[in-house]
Amino acid sequence: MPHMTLDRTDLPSLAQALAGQGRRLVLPVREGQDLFYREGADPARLDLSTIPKNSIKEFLFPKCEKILEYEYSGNDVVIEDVAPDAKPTVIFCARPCDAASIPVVEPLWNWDYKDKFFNERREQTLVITYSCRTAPDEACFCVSVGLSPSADQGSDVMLYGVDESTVAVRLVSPKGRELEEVFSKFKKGEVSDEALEGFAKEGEQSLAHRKPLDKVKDWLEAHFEDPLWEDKAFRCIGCGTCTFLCPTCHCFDIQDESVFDAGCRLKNWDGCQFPLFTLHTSGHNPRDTQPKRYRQRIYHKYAIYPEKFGKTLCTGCGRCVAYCPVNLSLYDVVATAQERAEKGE
Amino acid sequence: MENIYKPYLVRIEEKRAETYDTTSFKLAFLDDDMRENFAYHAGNFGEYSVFGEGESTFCIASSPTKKGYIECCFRAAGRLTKSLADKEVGDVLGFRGPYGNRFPIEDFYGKNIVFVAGGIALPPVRSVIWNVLDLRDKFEEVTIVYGARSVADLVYKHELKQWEEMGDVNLVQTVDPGGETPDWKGQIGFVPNVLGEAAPNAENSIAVLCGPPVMIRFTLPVLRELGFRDEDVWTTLENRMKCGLGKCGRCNVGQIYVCKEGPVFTAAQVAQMPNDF
Repeated sequence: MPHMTLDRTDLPSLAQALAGQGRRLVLPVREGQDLFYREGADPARLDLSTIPKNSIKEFLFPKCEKILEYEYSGNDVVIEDVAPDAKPTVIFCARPCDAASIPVVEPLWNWDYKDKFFNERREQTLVITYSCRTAPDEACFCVSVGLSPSADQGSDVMLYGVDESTVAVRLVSPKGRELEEVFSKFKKGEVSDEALEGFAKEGEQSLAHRKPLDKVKDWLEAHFEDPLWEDKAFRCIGCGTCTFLCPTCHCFDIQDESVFDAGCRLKNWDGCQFPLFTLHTSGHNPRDTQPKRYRQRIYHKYAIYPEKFGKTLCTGCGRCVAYCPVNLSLYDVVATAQERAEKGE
Repeated sequence: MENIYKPYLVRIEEKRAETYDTTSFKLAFLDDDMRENFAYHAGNFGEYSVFGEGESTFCIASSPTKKGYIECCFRAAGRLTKSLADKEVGDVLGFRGPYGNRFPIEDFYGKNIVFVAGGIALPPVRSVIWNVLDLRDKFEEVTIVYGARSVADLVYKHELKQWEEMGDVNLVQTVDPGGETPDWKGQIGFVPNVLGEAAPNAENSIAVLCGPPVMIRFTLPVLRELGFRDEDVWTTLENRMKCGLGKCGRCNVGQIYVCKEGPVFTAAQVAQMPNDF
């Protein structure tokens, strides 16, 4: 089946057209040296030169979100349910590793108890993904976790920058197919399935040096106590940058904020790398050293979450590798685990 | 979709200073329907909140056989528990729950039950104790071994007296050496030693054990020595929690989410867990 193509220069107008249907628009723009996904940025500033520094996580699971309001009146309290700030949204030109993070975390927000804050935002969000032609950053390792630079998991529409002036469009999900009319207005030509397959292959080849990590889970399950954790994590300073930049890290804290007699309860991003995260009131801390906390992060992503939900809690975006202030590479740690598994160690 | 973080409102009906730093509350739901129909099991826990301060996780200390209210007991140790302790009868708090798994009380029918608790860990055990005592004829011998650092640290003193007076409960109270007062009539010694001396029958018996990690560590070998199988020793794991719903990511021990798969485990299950608690 052939797919329509557009002129690359029409992308800002396309973004505008999608947003024009009453949606808020999120797209990657340059700020200083880095790209960031920003809400409400001028589409003319669209920048596709590399992978943005933040992930799209904050548009589905905000850094700080109100979950309750309350007011005292004498001894009594009145609580007010809060609706999520879930407006129709289009995330334009997400990277495949970011889009793929959505189906990864969905089961977490829905096992038994359904978190309406995530779900209602998810429901209202369209993800238009810009496929990577080749790995945009040297830290990328999506192929190691079963994805690829053109993976379509979590995407409603895939865009492929097939050459310098042309972008191919593939409508992926039912929600994406409903947008056909909008896209058709910009149609310039067509491209074959085979051409897109060739494009995908080229992307995968750019990461041929990355290992599969299929043996990591079994290895971890047998090596909770191993010198590797002290060796690798000794230099971790526990800054939590990895957890905040990660598209799949979802741990949070619940805090109250109030002024006089009224206030609200907030769900805030938290991270397993902070000592306070697990500190008991008694002073006991199950994960009282940084290597234990680092080990928890690796286990959660590569052993615990796969065991519970059948998915690796990592999309190989490489942000935790690229932005770690002490150059502690998660890929290096899991690749070491894979290597040792292969050697039967 | 329902807001899973929205608490129920409860009013403090009774407040009691259990010790110099420990308080217990009897709480009633403001909503009539909730007061009638709120159901839970021994072992379940909840998130108790002071609006403006935040939430804190404790067990439900009352027995599900008592209807119309719930009880909790806590030590004023952190910011939240201190502000909770400042609340008075008539004040309104938030409560989310019941969460977590439970003690399988029905499986204990027809057996001897040995309760072992240390210090502030009596409240979770108390829920099971009253559950058992309210269905007394379904169980054989009931033994309660309870200890604290000092006489001043014993909680639920008025209920200890009640249990002591019951003809069909064998209550052994102890305080750590040096923690006794001149008129102390109980034992003096650490819980594991006192339990060993009391030597409850392990045949057809279940042990329910809660206490600080150090007490658990030294009590388990004593129970094994007495002949208890790890499958028959039940305990609760206490980990820091925020959501109580299996989402916020901090209470796990390996792949076990304590808030969902716990907090009640057998010693056999605990022995299988990675050393991460």
